[in-house]
Order: sequence, then C-alpha cells, then structure tokens
Amino acid sequence: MENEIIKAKKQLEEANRRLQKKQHSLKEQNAIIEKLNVRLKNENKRSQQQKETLQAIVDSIGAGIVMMDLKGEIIFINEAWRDLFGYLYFNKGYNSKGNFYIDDNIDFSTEFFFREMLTGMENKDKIFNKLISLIHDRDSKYSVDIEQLSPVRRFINLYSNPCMSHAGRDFGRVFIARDISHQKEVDRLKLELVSTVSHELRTPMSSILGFSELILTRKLSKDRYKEYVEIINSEARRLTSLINNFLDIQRMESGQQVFNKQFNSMSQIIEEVVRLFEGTGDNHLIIYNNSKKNMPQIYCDRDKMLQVLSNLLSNAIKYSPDGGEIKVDLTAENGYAKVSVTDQGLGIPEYIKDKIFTKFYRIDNDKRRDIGGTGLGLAICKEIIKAHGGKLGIDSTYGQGSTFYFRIPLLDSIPGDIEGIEEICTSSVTNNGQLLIVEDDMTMVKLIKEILKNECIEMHSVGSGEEAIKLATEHDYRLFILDIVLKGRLNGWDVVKELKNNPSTADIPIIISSIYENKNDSSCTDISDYLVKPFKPEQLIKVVKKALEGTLDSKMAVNIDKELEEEILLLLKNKGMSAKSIEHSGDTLIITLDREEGFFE
Amino acid sequence: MNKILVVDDERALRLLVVDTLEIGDYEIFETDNGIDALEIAKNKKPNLIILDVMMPGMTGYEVCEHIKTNPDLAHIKILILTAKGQQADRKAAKYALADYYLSKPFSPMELLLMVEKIIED
Repeated sequence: MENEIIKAKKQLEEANRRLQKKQHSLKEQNAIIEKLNVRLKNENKRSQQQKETLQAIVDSIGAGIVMMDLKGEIIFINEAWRDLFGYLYFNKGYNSKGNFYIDDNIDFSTEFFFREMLTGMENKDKIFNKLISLIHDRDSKYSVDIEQLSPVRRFINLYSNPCMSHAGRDFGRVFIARDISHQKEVDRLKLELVSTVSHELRTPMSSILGFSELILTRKLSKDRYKEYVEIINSEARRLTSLINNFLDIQRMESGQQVFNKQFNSMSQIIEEVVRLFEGTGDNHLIIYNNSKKNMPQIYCDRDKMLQVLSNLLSNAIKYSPDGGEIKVDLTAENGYAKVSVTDQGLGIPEYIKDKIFTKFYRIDNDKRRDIGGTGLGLAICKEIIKAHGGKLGIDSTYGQGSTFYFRIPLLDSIPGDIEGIEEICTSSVTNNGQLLIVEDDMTMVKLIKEILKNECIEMHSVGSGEEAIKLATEHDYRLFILDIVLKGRLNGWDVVKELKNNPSTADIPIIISSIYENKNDSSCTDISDYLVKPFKPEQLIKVVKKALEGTLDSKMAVNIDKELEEEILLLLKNKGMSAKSIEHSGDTLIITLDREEGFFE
Repeated sequence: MNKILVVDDERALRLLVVDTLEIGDYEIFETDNGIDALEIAKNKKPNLIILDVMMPGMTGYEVCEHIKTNPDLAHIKILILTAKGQQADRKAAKYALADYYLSKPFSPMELLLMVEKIIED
C-alpha cells in the first residue's frame, strides 16, 4: 500500500514537473509570439507609412502618372492625372481619393482609356497607334508633345518608359503626362523675337546693299547719287543703333550688365538731359521746375539714368508732333524718388499700355508710322529701372498726351554688394552741396576738380586764406580742401584756426592737402584728413566722401619714429581712445581712431 | 504697258524697288499699306504686285490671300519680299498662294531679272 502511494506521489511529482516544464515552455512561446506580434505591428506601421509617403510623392509630383502592368492593364492612376483629364467621364469609375490602386472591378480596356485621353488632341490617331504598340513593348521609351484643342487649349507632353525595378524585375510600363503650355509659350516668344530681330536687321541692310549696288552699276544724276548715299548712311546708323540697343537689352535681361551705382543728384541729371534736348524739338518747350530743395541723393548708375531720361524725353518730343509743353518732375514719396515726363502729344490707348514696354513694340497707326525708332527704347528703360529696384509706368489718355514715370527706392546706405567702397556711409546727403578749394596752384585746383567731378558737389576755389575766410561766411560749404602754402599773409593753419573759431564754420570738415608732412599735431583734432601731395585720386575721393557723409572716424597724423609707435598707442589707450587702423606714410604715422560721438568737442 | 504695284511700308525700300525697276518699261504704282494696295489692284489691274510681308495693319500675306481668292484679281502675279528667310516662312509664303518670293536683303539686279522673267510669262 505504501509503495503505491509513494509511486503515485512520484507520478504526480513527475506530472507536475512535466506540467511546469510545459507551462514554462508555453510562456516562452507566448513571449516569442508577443515579440513577433510587436514586430509585425511595427512592420505594418512602417509599411503603411512607406505607402503613405510613396502615395504623397506620387500625388505631389505634378505630373499625371499611369501604371500599366505586364498584361497591358491599367492598374494605377494618380491624382494629378485625374486633375489633368478630370473632364473625362470614366473618372466616375475611379477609386476614391487616397487609395493606391484602382478598384479591381472597374471594367475598361486600355484601348478605351487611351482613346478617351486623346480626345481633342492633334494627331490623335497616330499617337493612339503608337501607345497601343507600346503595351507589349518591354524596351522602348516614347515622348511626344501634343497640342490639345478641346475641351481645353493647351500643350501636353506624354512620356512613357518601361517600368523596371533596380533588381531587374519587370513591372510593366509607366505613362507620364505633363502640361507644358508655359514652356511652349516661352519657346514661341523666343522664336518670334528671333523673327523680329531678323526682320529689323535685314530691313536697313536691304537699303544699304540695294542702293550701293545701284550706285555701282548705274550711271546716276548727282541728285540721285546724293539721295542714295544719304539713305545708305542713315540706314547704317539705324542698324548700328539697333544692334547696340539690342545687345544692351539682352545683356541686361541676362543679368550680365554691370551697373556703376553711386549716390547722385537726380536733379542734376535731369538738368543735364533737359539742356541736351533744348532746341531739338520744334514747337516744344521743355520745363523742369527745380524747386525741390533737400532732395536726398539717389543711389543709381548716372550714365544709365541719363539714358533713361534721354529716352523718355526723346519719346515725348517724337510723339507730340504738334509741339507743346513737356514737363519733367522730380518728387520724393513713400521712400521712393519719382521722376515723370509729361507730354501733350498723341497719348496711348489703354490696351497697349502693357505691350509698350516689350521689345520692338511700336504703336502703328497712321500718325505714328513714320515716327521711326528701334522699338527698343522703352524695353531698355524698363530693364535699367528694374535693375535699380524700381518701376516704370504710364499714365495716359488716348489723344491727350502721356506721362511716363519711374520710381527708384531711396536708400539710406550703400547696399553691401558693392566692391571698391570700404566705408559704409550712413546718412543721406543733401544735393547741391558746395565745397571750397583753397589752393594757390591752379593746376592743382584743376586736378582736384577733375578728380571730384562725379561727386555731384559744386566746387569753388580761391588762392588765399583771406578770400577763403570771407567766402566761408557767405556760402554754406560742406567741406574745405586746404593747402598750407597760400597767397597772402595767412597760411593753411591760420585758416583752420579761423574757421574753427567761428561757430558757423567750426563744424565743417577740413581736409588738408599739402606737400609737407604734418608736423603740427596740436591741430590734429581740427582736421578731418591730411593728404600729402602727390596723393592718388582714389585717396582724395575716399577722404572727401568720408568727410561729406559725416564719418565718425577721426584721424591723427603724427610725425614720429617708428619705435615710438607702441608708446603712442599705449598713451592713446590710457586716454580712452583705441586705434581702428594704423597707416605709415613716410615718416608720418596716421592713426584712425574709434571715435565716440561728441567725444571731441 | 505692263503695270507693277509696289507695296512696302518702309519708304527707303519702296524707293529702292521703284528705282530699280525704273529702267524697265513699266508703269509703276506704289503704296505703303495693304488696304490701299487692294484698292489700286482693283482699279489698275497690275500684272504684278511686289509685296512686303511685315506691314502694320494688313500684312503682305493677308493682301496676297485677298487677291488670290478674288476671281477678278486672282490672275495677278504676286512676288513677296520676305525678310525672315527661314524655312517656315518660305512655306508660309507658298501657303499664302504667292507666286514668287525674294528674301531681303536682295540684289537689285536679281529683282530686275526676276521681274522681267515674270512679266515675260
């Protein structure tokens, strides 16, 4: 009996052990299954994300994509395709948005699909046959530009490639459709331009070649001869002008034109152009009312501004054949300088106002046909103004004259992308400024005037200190350029002293230009700059610009031994001044200081 | 007497053609626009019209079409002066039913010979 119990107990224990083992094993299996579950979930998620990403890519490509399988059946159509051909009725059979594939139970044949797609397109039969031939073609690529006439007018590019994975697995064929109407329009415009240029160039050439041949092959009367030669000459000029203008504008449009921008007085530029045209028009009166004082200088390329204004004035004269007043105005509004040219001539019809700035455009009707010109003037003006960050515009009533105007932004400082100018000037300068050159050497005076001729500042000159002081009280000078050796009793330093003692002239910057190096360092703080003759023109320009624009720098010219340089710097440092830059000029040490406003009273 | 009508909006070119043809025995009419050209064609019935293509208002091709589709005028020979000289424009000239074309710039001698030949036929 006991043995049986022990046996039973042993059996139970054994069973227990086995059960536990099984349980343990099950647990392990469960854990593995759990892990696999999690992995599967993650894989699913990733797969779903990939699918969504691919879907997003395919839908945002902006080209219609259609996928055809190896059997030649359409299995996928993307959103963009549906957008392109949304007017086709088989749209109703499509799957709703967001699903990757077409419903399996949609029943349309590939042939039907292509036929429908090609409705309203040029050469549709030829293209249809080609597309059908591609169904079982595993290798060919195909691309065609199609013009569609209905229901929409546009150009479509259809492109097809066999669809193969990297591993070489063949999936079928893909078709891509893009709307290329814009490109076609650009191409058309280019072609038209080439045509127009070709015509514009050949026309004067015809006269030149034709008349010269007549001169060579015929006996002509003197009058005839003269007439022909005049025509040849004038057509040759016209051709030259055309070629120059055309090259100008192509250069400008392609961004290769280099503009030489500086701060200039627009008022002065206008005056110059008005002077140029005075007397050219018969019955024309050109008026520029220069009443605007304190017009800030404008950052622009002076020559190009002259070109624009010349063109506008020339047009004003040309297109008011009955004469009349031509008014030029300069105003500042909303951070822009606005220049306008108003004539009382033929005026411009409304529908032409946009076209008029395009290349070679000339308004043609009876009155204007003989006016001539290349048709490029306004196009060039537009490019120039555009390169200045501005805009060109028209106000005109047909039959009552026109106003052409342009706006250029007023800048406070020179933009950073200019080479050759190191210092940044920060204040707007009033134009019509005057400077006084105090110099007894006339050659030197001439030289200084020549160097500074583009700085748009009026220059007076006197030979003696006495005259200088007298003029200084009568005029509002912005700057003095002073030699040390002068006519009369006073020398340059005396003049400096006098100017600084007079409150009305004390703040006007002074530049010393002398053959002597500066031995007098007590006057250092009174002068803006000290130039030793002979100096380079760029030096003078730089120094004048700085003085005019109110630089905060102060220069010290100290005549010392080089060994003392360090001591000097230390001394300055103790006095709270630091050197921004140090230059050596012979025995002279020129220190540019970091100057705080109001530090030197 | 053979009559020739010269149509070109460029004064210098018109003068060139007219003077070139001067030494031949032709009665020459000239105008600078297509509309007047049609009028003159109807009234004077020239043998030949020398026509520029690029003209404001009615182009040379349009004038050509008007002439050739009018049974009274269709017999008039048309020589088109084209400044473009490209393949496409020669096709356009043919399509516009012109009989002859000559590209600018042309030699006056060539023009004269061509006109003589056309009138002869």
